[in-house]
Amino acid sequence: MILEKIEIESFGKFKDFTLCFESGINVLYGVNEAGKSTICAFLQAMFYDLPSSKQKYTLREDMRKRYMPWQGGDMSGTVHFSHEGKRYILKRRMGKTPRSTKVSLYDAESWEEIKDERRENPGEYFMGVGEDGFLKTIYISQLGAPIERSKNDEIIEKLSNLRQSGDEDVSYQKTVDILTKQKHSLISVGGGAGKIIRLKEERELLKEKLDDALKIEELYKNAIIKKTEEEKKKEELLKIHKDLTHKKALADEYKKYQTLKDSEKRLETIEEEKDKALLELKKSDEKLEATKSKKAELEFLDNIEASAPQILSELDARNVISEQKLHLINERKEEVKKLEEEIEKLAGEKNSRINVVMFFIAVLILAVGIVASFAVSFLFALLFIPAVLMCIFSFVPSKKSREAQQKIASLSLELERIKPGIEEENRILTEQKRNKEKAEDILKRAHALSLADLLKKLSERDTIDELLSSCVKENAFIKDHIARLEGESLKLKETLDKSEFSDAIKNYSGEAIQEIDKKLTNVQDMIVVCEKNLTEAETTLNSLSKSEKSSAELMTEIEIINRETDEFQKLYDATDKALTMIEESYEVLKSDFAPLLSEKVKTATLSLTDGKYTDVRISDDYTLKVESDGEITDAGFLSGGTYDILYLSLRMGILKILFDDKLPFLILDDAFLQLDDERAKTAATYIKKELCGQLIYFTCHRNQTELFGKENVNIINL
Amino acid sequence: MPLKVVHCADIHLDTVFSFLSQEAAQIRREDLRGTFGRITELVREKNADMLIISGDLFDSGDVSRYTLNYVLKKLSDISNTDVYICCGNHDPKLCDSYLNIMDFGENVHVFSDTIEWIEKEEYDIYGVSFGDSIVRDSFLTGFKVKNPDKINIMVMHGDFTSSDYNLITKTQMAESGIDYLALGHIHKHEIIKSEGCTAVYPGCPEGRGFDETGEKGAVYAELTKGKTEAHFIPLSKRKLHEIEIDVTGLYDYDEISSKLSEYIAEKNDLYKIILCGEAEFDIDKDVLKDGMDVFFVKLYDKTSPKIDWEKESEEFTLKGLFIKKALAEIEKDEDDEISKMALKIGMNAIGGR
Repeated sequence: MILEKIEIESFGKFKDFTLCFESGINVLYGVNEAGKSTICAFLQAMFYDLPSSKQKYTLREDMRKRYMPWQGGDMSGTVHFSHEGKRYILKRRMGKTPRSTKVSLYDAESWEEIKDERRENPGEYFMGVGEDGFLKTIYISQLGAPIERSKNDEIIEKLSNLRQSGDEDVSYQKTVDILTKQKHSLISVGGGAGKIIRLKEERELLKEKLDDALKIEELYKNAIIKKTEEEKKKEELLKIHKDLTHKKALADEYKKYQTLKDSEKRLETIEEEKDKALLELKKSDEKLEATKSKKAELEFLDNIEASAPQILSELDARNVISEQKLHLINERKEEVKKLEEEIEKLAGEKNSRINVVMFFIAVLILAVGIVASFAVSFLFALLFIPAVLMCIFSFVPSKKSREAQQKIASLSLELERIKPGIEEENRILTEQKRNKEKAEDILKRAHALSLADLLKKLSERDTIDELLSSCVKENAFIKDHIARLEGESLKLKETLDKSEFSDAIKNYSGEAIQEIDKKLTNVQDMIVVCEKNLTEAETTLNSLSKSEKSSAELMTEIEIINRETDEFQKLYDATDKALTMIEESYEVLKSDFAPLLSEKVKTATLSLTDGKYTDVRISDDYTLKVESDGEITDAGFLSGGTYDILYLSLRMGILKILFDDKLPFLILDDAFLQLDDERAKTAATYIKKELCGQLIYFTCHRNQTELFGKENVNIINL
Repeated sequence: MPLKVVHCADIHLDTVFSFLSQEAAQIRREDLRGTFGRITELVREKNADMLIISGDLFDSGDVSRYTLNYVLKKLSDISNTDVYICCGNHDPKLCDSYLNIMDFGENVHVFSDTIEWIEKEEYDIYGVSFGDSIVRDSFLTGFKVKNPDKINIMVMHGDFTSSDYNLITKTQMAESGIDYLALGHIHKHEIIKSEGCTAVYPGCPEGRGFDETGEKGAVYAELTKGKTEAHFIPLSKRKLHEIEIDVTGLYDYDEISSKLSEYIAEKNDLYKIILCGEAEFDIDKDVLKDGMDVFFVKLYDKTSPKIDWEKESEEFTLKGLFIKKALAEIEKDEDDEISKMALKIGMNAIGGR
């Protein structure tokens, strides 16, 4: 491609500016601010359009803003160029956004508008590289513009693609992109989960659900088992319950039967008791009768005055006194008699005055004394004294007769005193006699022998009522007892008459009702538990019969997902394998072209540095290592000038491989700025020699305008 | 009056149709239930004396409650008909299997894992269930009916070839005195006779995989002593088909589709389509499938592409190198599906797809 002419209608500082190029070397000289960069940017914009403005860009970065016409309006211009023997006119108008861009391409000969891909992507079509490639190859800026491996590394791709029999459409990067995207779509998409991951997640979810479902189904199954079991159990229990109830009825009946037997015995006892009672009643009746007759007997006492006993006792007492008095009277009478006798006696005694006895005794004593005094001892003559005395005394008159006369006198007095008392006593005695008669009358009336008897009878009469009432009570009690016994007996007889017993009673095992009851309660409790369990099981069944997915369904889903996952996994593996194989193939290609590039760069380096650097190695990311005097150095450590030279060689090498003879044109934007004159000269010469197309060299140094000589060089002053 | 028997087996309710899509699997499971329902309808229609289910009523021990309730309902619909069920290897009568623990109704008898004998006025029926998923003992060994003069029926799951599933021999049949041997396990309908004994496999009533293609259903039999007439009654909701299509000379989807339509007669059926021959173009299965309006299609592409790999692989280009590598991988292992796919995927990617 050869640039012929640019017409800037409006772009940055330029307005209606025209620039013509020669097909060979064009040197554009302009001081700073003359607009070299603007022309470069214009070319870039014409072929590649401008990127959209972005907030984050500074004005310098934001080309769309930066090159907006100073006078306002849209950016616009025209480029005339020829390509493969055909001439074209490219017009472009650019507004504030890429959308406002209008491009037209004309066949310069026919003025026919071209509307195919040439118009859509003129840069890529005519220059053979994209914008990135353009900047890395065709456009060599003063500031080194180091080639870096970028995401859309066109160059290396282009290099490799060009190796494929010229089939530029087969793009390694594109292929890798497609495969990577396919891979990612399976594993992950933009941070989100890819198909396989999603399926796996889904599967995990399903597995959890399956676990749940299996648990629920287990519960369901267990509930069914339980229900069946409990139903069976309940049936059995009901049977046992029925048996027990029957048993209990039997036991009850037997108990009644037993009671009846007891009743019969009781009846007998009652009869016996009744007989006894009747006997007692008889006795009681007799006793009552006796008491009654006794009471009748004593009825005469009712006529006896209540004071009778007292009267009687008083009479008695008086009688005792009377008797004493009577006794006293008799004693007095005796006394009176004695006194009269004594008076008579005393009257006799008054005449007998010698005491013969004494005289006799005294004679006796005198005789004893005369005898004893002559016979025995003279001492006995002393007895003559008492005897003589006694004889004297025996003839003295007695005192006794005087006393008798005195006593007669007192006795006669006494007698006179007693006589009226005796008369009183006789009156009392008479009264006594009357009293005695009266008492005897009372006793006679009371059929009593004595007062004691009367008292006894009276007391008998007093107790007979009590006795009678007790007898009546006793009698009534016995009768009542008999009545009660008869009542009970009647009742028992009635019950006995009514009672009928089944033969089953014979089968009664003898088990106690309490025992049966206990068992019954037990069974009932068990039935309750059974029913509770049944309800529980049924509740479980009902609660589970809802519409969750069954394990079978979930298993199906999991199986399907597994299958799908497998398929996707296979697809993934295959894609991965394809990718690996593509990459490997690319490596093969690259390893094939890398030495070629190295060779080209090496030649360029040797030439440009006058053999100072003997070898250059290029790594994947375009960093360079150079060998000088056997030492290998990273190009980054070299001086700016040397670095530029090296990169120029790399550029040239790449250009050589990339475009071969088809390099559209080359723009050098003060590329030799850092080089010393000599090196600049060498570089210029080298480029001139190697280059077979158009060269546009921008410089702001007048001394560099003649780097390429003057011959066939179009020098343009801006 | 002959004894009227409806005999089915291998319904495999709640089958995991993992080869289908979720939706299709769901529908197929419902199809299974519906077909079981139609079997009970057949019982009513024929006014049958009994329904025999010779095992594998359920696909596994895990039965959905929905299905259980459906079965209960359908069996209660024919509560006047005796139903005899034996368990097969898929639903063996284990202590916790539904066939063991559920009460399916007064009319339903599930045989135990030893031969049971039920005497009826018109016939004697024997039956035995699988107690486990494998039964190595032959149930019929030494078996003889008790009343040889009556119609004797035996219900069981069994196999004439595999000793893992109650091996049955024709000799056993001949000596047993059984008139009608109601079998299950083999999913293809088959009638085997040995002396007076007629063994019948009704087959599964619905195909469950592409190895079970064609007409499926149950058996209706009329039995009189000494005469057994068994008729196959198609009942399946959908049939499965396997079709092989040679795509050689078919240059676009249209041409393939129109050729396919010659084979696809029933839209509600399931089809396994194998594309073979030489593909004139890169056939995308999804595109082809999209153009087919049938219940379910499984496409297998066994075509060989019409590309001269060898020639292309000789070029020293990305494409050439890639093909060479892929072919080398495939050569290592003929069955390396991944490498084959990788070649296809890689070529598509290189082509910008």
